[in-house]
Amino acid sequence: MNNTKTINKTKLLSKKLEKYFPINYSLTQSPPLIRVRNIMSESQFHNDNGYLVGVISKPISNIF
Amino acid sequence: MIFIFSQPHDTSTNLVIDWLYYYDQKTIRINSYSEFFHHFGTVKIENNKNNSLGNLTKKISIWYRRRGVLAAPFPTNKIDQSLIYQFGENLRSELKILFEYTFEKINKNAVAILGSEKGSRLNKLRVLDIAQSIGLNIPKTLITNRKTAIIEFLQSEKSIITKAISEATFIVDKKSNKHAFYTQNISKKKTTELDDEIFPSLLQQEIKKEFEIRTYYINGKCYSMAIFSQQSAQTATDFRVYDTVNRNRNIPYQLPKEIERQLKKLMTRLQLKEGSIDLIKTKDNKIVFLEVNPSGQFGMVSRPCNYHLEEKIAKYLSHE
Amino acid sequence: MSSQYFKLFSTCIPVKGQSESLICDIEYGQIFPIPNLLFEILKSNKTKNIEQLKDAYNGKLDKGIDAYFNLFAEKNLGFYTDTPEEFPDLNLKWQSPYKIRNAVIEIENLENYSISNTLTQLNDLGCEGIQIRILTTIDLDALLAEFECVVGSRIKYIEIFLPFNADTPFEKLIKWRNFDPRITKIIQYNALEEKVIEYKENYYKDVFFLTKKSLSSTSKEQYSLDRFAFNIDTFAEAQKHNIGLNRKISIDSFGNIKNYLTHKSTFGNINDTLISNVINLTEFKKDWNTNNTKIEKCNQCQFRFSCVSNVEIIKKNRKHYKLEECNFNPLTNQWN
Ligand code: SF4
Repeated sequence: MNNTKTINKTKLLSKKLEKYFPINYSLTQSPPLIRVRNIMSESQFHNDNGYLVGVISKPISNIF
Repeated sequence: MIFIFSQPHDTSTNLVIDWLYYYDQKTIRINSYSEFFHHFGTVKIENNKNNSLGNLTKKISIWYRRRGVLAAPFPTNKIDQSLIYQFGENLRSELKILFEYTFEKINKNAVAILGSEKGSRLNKLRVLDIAQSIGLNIPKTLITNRKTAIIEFLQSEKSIITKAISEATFIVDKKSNKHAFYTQNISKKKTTELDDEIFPSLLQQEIKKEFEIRTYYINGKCYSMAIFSQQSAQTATDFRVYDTVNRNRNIPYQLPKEIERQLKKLMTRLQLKEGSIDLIKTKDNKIVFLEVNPSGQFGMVSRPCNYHLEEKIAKYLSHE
Repeated sequence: MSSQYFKLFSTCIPVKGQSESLICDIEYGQIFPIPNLLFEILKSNKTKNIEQLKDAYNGKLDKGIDAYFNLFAEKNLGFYTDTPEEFPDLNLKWQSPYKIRNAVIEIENLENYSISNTLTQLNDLGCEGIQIRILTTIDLDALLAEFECVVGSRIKYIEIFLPFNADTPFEKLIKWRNFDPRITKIIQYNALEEKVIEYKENYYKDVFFLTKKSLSSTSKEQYSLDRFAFNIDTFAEAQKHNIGLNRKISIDSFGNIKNYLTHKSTFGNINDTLISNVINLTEFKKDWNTNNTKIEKCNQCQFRFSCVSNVEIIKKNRKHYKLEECNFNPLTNQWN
């Protein structure tokens, strides 16, 4: 239902991370950043009567 | 009673009003001259009267946030296109005199005033001069109309910029193209192309910055933010990484106490209760003062640093 | 170089989980999973320069520390500095001028209670976001009339869930969207497909959605990374408050006032009770401050400052539990 790209990879990540700490350190692969839907920063603003509308900082309830 | 002179679409005004509402403060927002007349009635000047404005209780606070009252109506009649600009200017100067007078009247009833009824323009040259006299570092600045002076300045400073003496603004031509007066680098090549005598221009030594600092000053206190801008052209192939790598970072910053003291002195000299101050932290660890913007955009400091400045402004207006 | 300090930007905040930690970038809504050992290092990093830090681990982690700090610097999560004292931590104090911040409103018909009156009350209390759940096929035009007070209000965001009805012309939904930009999402459930309806006049983003899922008062909440909120406002609120229930109000289809629709307790009916009175009841606000840090299982979870859940909270032997468990296990770091 939501229209943003999501990466659901935490399982995978911890495996990858193991090799960074604490021994045999190598940085051939870096742990990825995971970009999460951030309602506040998606700049979906409407400026209407002086109010920024169309955006709030968190979901009201995640039923879907 | 709190009066806020603002304009429509100013989000910061909304957020401050949200707090005033939360604290049960009676607040009137005035965005235009018609709203002004709606609240104050007619302006009467008569013999043997003290000619005060109607509707004023004894104790009021005023916030001069934006000057929406000076927005002149756009002439709708079919007047000659070439007259529209002059017509607008004329209406604006009518409003200017009116509000010069009425603001002066209102101010007499005020126990707290934030911002200035005179608007947000300061004489930047005067500000720089006062700043240096207080002991703040400022960029070496030169105003000249002579090509030779510019060439000499470039030679001694290695890297220079030019910017507006007044405000960075833009003009619009008949085809609605905007022409902006940017802050710009002056290259050696550019200097050779100049006429011997030019229009007076402001030149400044270019400061090599580590990061920028934006300080919101209110009533003696400084709330500062460091802005790390990312110019490094990272070869980011992964778009997820690209996203962060090239974005500015805005984080809370603590100015040295000595600089805060100097800024307070400067603001007092300029008779400003609030304002946004631009500074630079140089590569060699100095803090250089650039300019003050009264009625600045404090929202851009407040939000990333979680300073809740809107609430602090609301408290100031309710004299707490 | 090594007498330098390394600092994460103060908006990139490490959060420890039982088996994995996170750096939450609450300026740009991103997370960066890190091993717990690195969390400990970052914690002691606050007071130590890089050299002292390496010494503290007897030189065993030199390469790891250098590599990770370089990586963070390269990814714009932190920077090297000689003057760490100039960069204070982000103050995580949370405050809001809105007495109610969000609301769930369930609608079965236009008779059970006055929707316009409810919206007016919410607006007066500063409510920012409203979720409207329409349970039946009702007259959309008549409902729209109840929304008159939304135009130009302090309300900022409205999402509407309604049952898919093949007989409802799309124009009727567009009418809602064009009514006011605060109507931000219109989701039709029980549809035949999962779809985002492209509509060229959507200002900045998608508004119309179709989903096969169904909806009822007992619909359970979902948990996944993309549903979490990583931003300053939420992170700060979560330090001391329950980010699902704090300053939330819900009205069920009969007008009963609740913390959330699935909760057992009701606090009067909107037909004879003012919301402003309900939010002064201690009992109504009982769990507003029960944040995830106080709840078993969640207190071990690295998502505790970003995970919004409205689940009822129960107390057993002076410990708090969520009535329903989520599908993430902080002990194993696995999603089920
Ligand atoms: S409900 Fe608790 S354990 Fe589950 S994801 Fe949210 S914070 Fe973590």
